[in-house]
Amino acid sequence: MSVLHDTFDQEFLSFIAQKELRIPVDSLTHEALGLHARSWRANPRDTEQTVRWMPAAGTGTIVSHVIFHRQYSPDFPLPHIVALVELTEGPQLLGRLVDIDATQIAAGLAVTVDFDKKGLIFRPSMP
Amino acid sequence: MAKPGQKPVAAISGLGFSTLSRKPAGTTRELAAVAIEAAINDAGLKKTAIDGLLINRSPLSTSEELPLRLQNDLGLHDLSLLAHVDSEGSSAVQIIQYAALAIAQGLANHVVCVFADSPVKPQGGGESFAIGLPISGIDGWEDQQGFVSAIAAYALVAQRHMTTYGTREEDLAAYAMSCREWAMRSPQAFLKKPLTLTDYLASPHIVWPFRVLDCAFPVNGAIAVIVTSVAEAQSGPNPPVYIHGMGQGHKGRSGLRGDDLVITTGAALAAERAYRNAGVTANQITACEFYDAFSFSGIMSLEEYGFCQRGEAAAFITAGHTRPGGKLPVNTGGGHLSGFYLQGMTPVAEGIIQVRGTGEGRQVERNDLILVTGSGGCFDYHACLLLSPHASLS
Repeated sequence: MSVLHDTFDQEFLSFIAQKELRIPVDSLTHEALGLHARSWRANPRDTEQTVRWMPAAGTGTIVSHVIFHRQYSPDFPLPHIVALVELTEGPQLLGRLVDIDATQIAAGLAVTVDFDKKGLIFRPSMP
Repeated sequence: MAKPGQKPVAAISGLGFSTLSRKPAGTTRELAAVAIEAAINDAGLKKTAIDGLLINRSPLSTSEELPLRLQNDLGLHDLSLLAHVDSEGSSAVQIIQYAALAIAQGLANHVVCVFADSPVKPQGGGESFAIGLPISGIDGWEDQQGFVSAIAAYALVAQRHMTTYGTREEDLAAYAMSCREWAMRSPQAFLKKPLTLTDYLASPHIVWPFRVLDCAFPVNGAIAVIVTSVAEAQSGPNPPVYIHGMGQGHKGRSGLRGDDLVITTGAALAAERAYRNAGVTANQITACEFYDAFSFSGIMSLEEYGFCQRGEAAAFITAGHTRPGGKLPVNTGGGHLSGFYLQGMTPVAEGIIQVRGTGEGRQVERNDLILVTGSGGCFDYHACLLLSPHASLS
């Protein structure tokens, strides 16, 4: 599907609402794009947008993480851990990290995407 | 831009403060007006001499809190330069850059640059900062993930640095303690009680790895600066603060593998530009006034601005080089952590004080070339100035 640049966020979030993680891919090069690099490159032959949303494998590794000790919102009670994850396809994605002891979290740890009632989460991958 | 050895771009002739307070102290607009009046008086000018006004509004506030109509509040007429600059924490340094360039090009003669903010409400300052920084690339994603507060965004980079280079919480402590030592010598600083490692480690975490003592101390207030031509600054009542170099760097994010802030940020680009147009190297800089809203920002700045190799700033700080008596004084007014947090004007004001030689108990021995930095977003937007009491650096 083609994407209009002013609906990029909505497109991404609409897949999340359907419990599906999709990542933007350049339909000409077939390379994954980062979520910041929206690449609204019009096809030089016509005006069709060239970004497509492709299903992600849902796997990745932890780049960094933080542990909230202050509860900013009743929606996110402590413990609340958020990790920056590098997806297998290349894009980086922030997400809540659950089902892990904080002392076991380390850069490079493999994680898998899942969904709870609030949206996307990461869990440690099963060995 | 002047070539090395040529005259400076412009000079700073005036510096003015409003009351700085942890309590509500009037509207942001009123605070700005007070600081501007003080800066004009400090420069020995009449209001009629002011022909430029550049405004830095806090990203935490609305544009109505500090409107262009500030001009009318002050009775400033026939301005030839008037603008808001909205580049987050790099704006205060940027408006001084634009003022200097405008003066060098004959657009204006005396430009007021002002920042004002009122983040501390009756219930405290924390709520003002409980907003998510948009670092994911998807607007609204931070809220959906509960990734609230600038603290979390910076903590994520700090944790990455800790993993990559072995930076420890004791190193964050060493930076905070160095800043506190400077603050204890500054009459304007808010946190002046001696700070030990034990005190630091007893400070509660907010968003691990950051504790309360890793975070800026916000105040309500305003600071204004007058930028003037070199010739006019030399006939003013204060020692001129010459602007010899300036640079900006905005690296941009892709959000792809390898887009790693602990490898490089735009600050390195800002540094390279500023050093080149001043004809200097980092070795010639005698003191630094960094935008350090978090302790970790001081560590990153030492590395990005070329004083330490990647991963080596922590050892530099723990060796005592940034504290009073050290070889590279850093944040001599206590910075954002122990001095006060008025975004980019905190380092700007302290740089001016040090170049003038009016730092009293915290005056550095060597003020020949002082680096002042601004930083906004989450290490996204960078700007810097090289200030000196000398008209020529050669």
